[in-house]
Amino acid sequence: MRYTLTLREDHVQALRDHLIRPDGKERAAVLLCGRALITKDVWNGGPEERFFSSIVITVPQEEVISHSKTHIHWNTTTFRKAIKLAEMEDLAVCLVHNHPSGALTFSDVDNENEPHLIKTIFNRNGGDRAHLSIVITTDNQIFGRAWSNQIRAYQLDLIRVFGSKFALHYEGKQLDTPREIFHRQQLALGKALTNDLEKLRIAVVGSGATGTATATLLSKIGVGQLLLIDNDVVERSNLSRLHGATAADADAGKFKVDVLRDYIAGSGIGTRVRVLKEWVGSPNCHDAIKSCDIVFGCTDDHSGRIFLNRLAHFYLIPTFDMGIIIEPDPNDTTNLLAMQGRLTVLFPPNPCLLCRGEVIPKLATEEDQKRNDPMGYERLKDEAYVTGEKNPSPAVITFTTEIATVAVNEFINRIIGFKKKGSENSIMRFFDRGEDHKPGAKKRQGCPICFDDNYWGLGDVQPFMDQTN
Amino acid sequence: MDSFLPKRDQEYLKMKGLQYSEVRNANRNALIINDYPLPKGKFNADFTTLLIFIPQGYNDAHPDMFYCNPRIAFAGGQNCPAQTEGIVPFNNIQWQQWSRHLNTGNDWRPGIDGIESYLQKVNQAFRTA
Repeated sequence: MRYTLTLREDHVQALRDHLIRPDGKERAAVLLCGRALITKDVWNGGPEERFFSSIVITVPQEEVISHSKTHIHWNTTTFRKAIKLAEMEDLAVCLVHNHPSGALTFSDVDNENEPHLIKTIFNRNGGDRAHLSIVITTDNQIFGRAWSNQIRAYQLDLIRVFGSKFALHYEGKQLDTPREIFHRQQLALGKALTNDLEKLRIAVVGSGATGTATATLLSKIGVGQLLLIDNDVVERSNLSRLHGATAADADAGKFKVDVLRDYIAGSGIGTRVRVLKEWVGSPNCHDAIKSCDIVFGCTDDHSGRIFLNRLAHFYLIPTFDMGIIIEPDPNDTTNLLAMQGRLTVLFPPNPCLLCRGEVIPKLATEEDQKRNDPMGYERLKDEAYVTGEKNPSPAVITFTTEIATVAVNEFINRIIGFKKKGSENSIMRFFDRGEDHKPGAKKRQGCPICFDDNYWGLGDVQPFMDQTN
Repeated sequence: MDSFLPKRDQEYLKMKGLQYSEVRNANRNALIINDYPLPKGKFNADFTTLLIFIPQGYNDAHPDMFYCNPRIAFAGGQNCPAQTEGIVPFNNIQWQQWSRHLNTGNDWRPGIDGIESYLQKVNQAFRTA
């Protein structure tokens, strides 16, 4: 079993504020976590259990019996309340403390105390799923382990901290393996980025104009694992927009994901590419997309966006969603009413796509019927009820590639912070005006996805993501 | 079979004591409610079996139309309400299609509305037929 943990940046900040004080002593907290089970990793095979930070509970000073730079003894009043809450909410328990010295391994004291606490959790709450313990150091390192119900410890393979910045913690992060391919990129962006990118699993949803550009860029900068999801085949009318596709691919009726996979694999960078020929919301995709760290949304269907919008919140997977708006003027064929590209970063606590008005629910309903009841859909079209079918929308490879670049740059920015003004959750690029806007949005009162926080980091629930699949 | 409805809808249907079943057939999810009450005396029956197709992505996406079995006509005659001529087969039953559609943005609050609010629209369609 591969164990990993995703932490919200604001949770890490709250933990640090409590744990790390000028007196340099150890302190303790409990983090309750949602969880997900991935039955088969599409790159390596084998299962993964993933945990998501949900509730931070700090152990107050009056419960600390004694503490120093190298130990802490505390009474378990808060701890017992926390594990009761964990049972009620079906969450995993994660013990948290700090190492003021910066030591990057569990101490002898930790190894003696933690098994007792973990045993207390299993004895009280039952169940056979793992609980966790993590350590945060003064200089921002985090490491941890998962405890099975046999009270055996397994190192967490990856700890992700996601928010306005992305930080990854894993063994081998500090290794310096020079790779000629990335030498000049490293001169600009540093060496640390290369290891992080190689560790990541990224899904690119949609292998059309924006998706082929995005996936190609992600591969070229050194992302280690890519998952391509699209159920469409290459057509000759696509060739001027798809990176990597040929007329032979179109004539052979090849799937876009297969063509893109071969194109990326053929470049020799070493990206391991897997593909799914499905609509992204299909239950056949759930397991694979849950196993990703980050998603790029390059789909133009509304039901796909609805799916990704929830995914980002339930599974704490930052999602870079893109769109292109090129609107011809119906009264003047030489004029365009709009020429824009959009990037929206979906992740709590940002306003979601529904609240931003970027999803039209009626079109999602029609797309569902077209997928699952094609005869009924034709009937509706005949009765002129359907609004979604329009002439093919205008598209230009330079615009789609530009917005893909905007998205991948913002992704890099979250890891290394090269933008002087910090991270950008929403970028509207006006190709015709040569300027960017950063549209804000108001969350709708009662939006279960972004206004309320109940779904954030909830992980697996029934039905999947509390919606119809 | 596990429910395909969001938790809040499951709780609502149970709370109302409605006799319902969830049917998956030919890629489609349908909520079927038995003995659903109609306005008294208005139609040739006071109860119907009501079918609502639940799209993928519901309740961000919304249902479209609803269906009744057997066919509902006005009391004392053969005349059916307007826009109910369509017949759709599902689960080996012929369903009368009530072509009633939502206006996006006004009638459906994605993620917030659910079966409770959709049934209000169904009831309104019966009242105003």
